[in-house]
Amino acid sequence: MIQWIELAYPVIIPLGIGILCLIFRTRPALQKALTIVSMASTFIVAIYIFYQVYFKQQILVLNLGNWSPPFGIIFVADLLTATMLIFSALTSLTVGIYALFYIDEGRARHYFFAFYNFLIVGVHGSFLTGDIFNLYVFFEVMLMASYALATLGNEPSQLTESIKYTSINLVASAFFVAGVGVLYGIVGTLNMADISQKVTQAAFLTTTNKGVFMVVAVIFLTVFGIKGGIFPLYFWLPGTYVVPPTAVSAIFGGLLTKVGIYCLLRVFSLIFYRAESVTGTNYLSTIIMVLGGFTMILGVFGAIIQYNFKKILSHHIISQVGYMIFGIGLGTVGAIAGAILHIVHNIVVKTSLFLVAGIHERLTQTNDLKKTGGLANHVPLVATFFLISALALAGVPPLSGFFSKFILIKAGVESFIETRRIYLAIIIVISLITSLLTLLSMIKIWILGFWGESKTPVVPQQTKYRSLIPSIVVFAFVAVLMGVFADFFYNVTLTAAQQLKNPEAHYIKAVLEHQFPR
Amino acid sequence: MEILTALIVGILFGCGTYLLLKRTLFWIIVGLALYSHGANLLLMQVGLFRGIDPILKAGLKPESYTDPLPQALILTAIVIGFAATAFVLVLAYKIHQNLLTTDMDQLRGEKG
Repeated sequence: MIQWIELAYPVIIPLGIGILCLIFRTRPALQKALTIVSMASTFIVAIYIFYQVYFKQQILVLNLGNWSPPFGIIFVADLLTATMLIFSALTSLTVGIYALFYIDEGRARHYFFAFYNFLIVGVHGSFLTGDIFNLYVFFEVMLMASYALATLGNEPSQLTESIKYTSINLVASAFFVAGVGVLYGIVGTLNMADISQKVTQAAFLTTTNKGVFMVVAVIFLTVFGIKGGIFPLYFWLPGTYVVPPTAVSAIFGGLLTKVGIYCLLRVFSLIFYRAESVTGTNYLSTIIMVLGGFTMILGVFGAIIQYNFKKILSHHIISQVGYMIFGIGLGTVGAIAGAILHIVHNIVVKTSLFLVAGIHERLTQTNDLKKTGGLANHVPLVATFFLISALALAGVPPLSGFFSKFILIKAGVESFIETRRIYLAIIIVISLITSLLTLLSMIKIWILGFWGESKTPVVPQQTKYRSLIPSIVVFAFVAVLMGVFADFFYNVTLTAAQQLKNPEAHYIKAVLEHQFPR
Repeated sequence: MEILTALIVGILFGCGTYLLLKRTLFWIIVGLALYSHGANLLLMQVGLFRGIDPILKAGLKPESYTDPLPQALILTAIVIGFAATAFVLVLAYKIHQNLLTTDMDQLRGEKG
């Protein structure tokens, strides 16, 4: 049995460097250097893990403290985890470089980079852990860091928005503990692979337990729905993601909601779908799909009426989450592959758009699109990269968004032809309309913000914005790569989806066979 | 005992919900604290199993020991809940200091 100690690095490196940042509080320059070292080395480790998982075709397991499963905490990297890890490490590195030049001196002195590192600890820990209570703990690490990042700066709008964000997430945390507790009460284990195996055993599927499983499933759907911004629970999101400095908005918008979606995918594919397929009911997946449809269309409606650059982008986060939820709800291999592809595409593109919004804000001193215009004359390079990301978000063919939406909708149509469920057709039509409206609101930003005449004086020569451009270039480049080499990315997500659909042969086998020799 | 704890969990969640719907920030924080207590108690309740103390003795079946894990879980959850409540209290203090109000209705509608 190989103990893959590398799996601990994406958590330990940012944790250690975050603590070092706390120690060197008076030296922001050193903190910045350390953060970049931390993010870059994490990215290298993530590439190594991805290489081992995808090209060597194995699932990596690390038993912390040498306890044999199902006891003790384990870290697992299957292909879904490895894919998420590599993209989140890339994003945190690129946004970290952006933040070096964007974050003001005051925030840098007040532990911005320490909290940034802790946030990444939480995100990577949530991706890696194979223990459901440990998932809760890493979730809390991530949330605590995000509360701090959202409030850092003490601006009035930050305070009013983050009290809502904090309160609603504390409610979600309480429900998360309750859900884990009830689940533990039935199956008596916390290891997700072990739970997954037990929920299909007849001894655990008594009539009472089936009902309790459904309650727990709904609790988890609510908890991850609050975090991920699913239809009735997204109202806190647009406000909260707009008020912090744009570097923070970018990492929140790009990564945090996707952690919620990742957990939903992991927990439902491992536990509740399996319990459900045994009990023979499938209304849970129907509920998730319908919620996905609502999330798409209402999110994009929110974006259409806005004239604030960052608010438009935050509403789009919600509408894009709808696609992922639809894929997860549909649950066929193709649909899950599409959902995973959409998640990684969205991490890249959404972060990139927020970073452009930051440059726009810095040049024009406002986010209100009614007051700006003509940026394409002043900064043609930034405008070009905005256009690439915006078209990728809307799903224009050669770019990344087209392929993920195409795969999702194809899976939806196949499932509709097979089952003839009419709401599937409605959701597919909604998703196409949403796509069109997304393009519309991206064009709105383009016309109002980048075309035409400047309404406010823009002096690019006197504004420090050039150092912010490389981060955008990286993301635009990745978005193009994901379009050009779509077959490679599709193969990765398809393999990941196949692993998720057949956990006995992959996840459960890898975890439970990883016994430590006595 | 089980019915009693179940009732207490219900009352804690009920009171928590009532307080969360109030307008004053302070009551909302108390409501959040009640929520986390309710969740912890629920965790204890479902893991509750009365056996002998979990120290390995010869000749006893594994089923006869008390399960110590829920207590460890609750301890973790209490610590996290404590930290989070402390954070929200500081946030509320900052709001009171900077915006001179703790009424949620007046905190609505951010600008910009």
